[in-house]
Amino acid sequence: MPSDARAKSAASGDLLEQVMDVLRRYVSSTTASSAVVMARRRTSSASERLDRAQLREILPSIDRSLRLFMADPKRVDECIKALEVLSCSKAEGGPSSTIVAVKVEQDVVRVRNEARELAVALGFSLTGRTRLATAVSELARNIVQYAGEGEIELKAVIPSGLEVTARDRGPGILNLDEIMTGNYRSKLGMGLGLRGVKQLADAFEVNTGAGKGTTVTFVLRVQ
Amino acid sequence: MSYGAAIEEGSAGSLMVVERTLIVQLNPALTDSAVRRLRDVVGSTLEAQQLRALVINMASVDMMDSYLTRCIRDLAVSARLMGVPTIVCGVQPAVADTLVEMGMDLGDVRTTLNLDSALRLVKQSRRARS
Repeated sequence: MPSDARAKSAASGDLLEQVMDVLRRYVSSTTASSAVVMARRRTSSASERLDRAQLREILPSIDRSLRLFMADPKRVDECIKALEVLSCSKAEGGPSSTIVAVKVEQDVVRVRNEARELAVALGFSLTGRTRLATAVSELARNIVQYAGEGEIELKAVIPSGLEVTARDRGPGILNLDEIMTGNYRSKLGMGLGLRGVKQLADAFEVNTGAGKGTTVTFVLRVQ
Repeated sequence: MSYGAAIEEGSAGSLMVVERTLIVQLNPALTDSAVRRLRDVVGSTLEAQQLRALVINMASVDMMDSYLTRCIRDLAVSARLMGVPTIVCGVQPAVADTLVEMGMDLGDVRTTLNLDSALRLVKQSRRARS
């Protein structure tokens, strides 16, 4: 789909168009519209516009149609997950975010994989997914190593990308300026972790202070 | 050709010795402690088996963050200090892209595109020395 059309559908927030965008990444345009038309006929959601509740209702039917046309069940799951993300966007207060508790180092791997899956659903390229997983890994490791425990929230920002927030109640980062200018080397990493996340991100913010804990938020656009 | 034992459950990878070259095949989904264990095992294997080269194959590793990057670099540098030349191979394009974007690299560690070219390089430099 041409980028101006994509931009238009994003701007008008037309859910149906967004659904079609996702479907067209997996099947032909014709298959995509027939799957949607059939599903809507079955659930008699015939009004012009599609809302998120209706989308949730027609998902099982779309799922069945996709399985007829797509050979790889994994790809179907991926596509349905992307549609699920659309069906519970923040705009309607739905549960669009996932919160992963981070305490032990296995959690670092877990949250990294969670982020990667969500990125697939949102249509990130391999490079985009790798950047995201790397940035999430840095923040998760910082929590485990410096704060002991915390959480990472992964929030889909439809249709543009993913917002990641890492929160902890640890000791806070006392030498933030030094770290961000790249003059600092920690014993555990290269002293480049947090700064690296900033370089990877499209938007980046740190809130920290002695004894206040640390909150790092970054946004990665679909790329 | 002799195979070393895989390094335990939740392992960092597997070891293999071919023509006195230790090949370390890293797994995806590495935890920090798996990487630490790997460093210990590699160091002692190099010494115990009197090996001549170390090749670290990153082909299945789908992300390298600052910690893993530093560990790999440290591993290569300490092997070199032991007199064992080290080559890192098979870094995926998306992983390389991310490292560059974050401002990290492997320093002056030798790298090659894949395992084949790494082993060729080992042979060449061996011939050059003899």
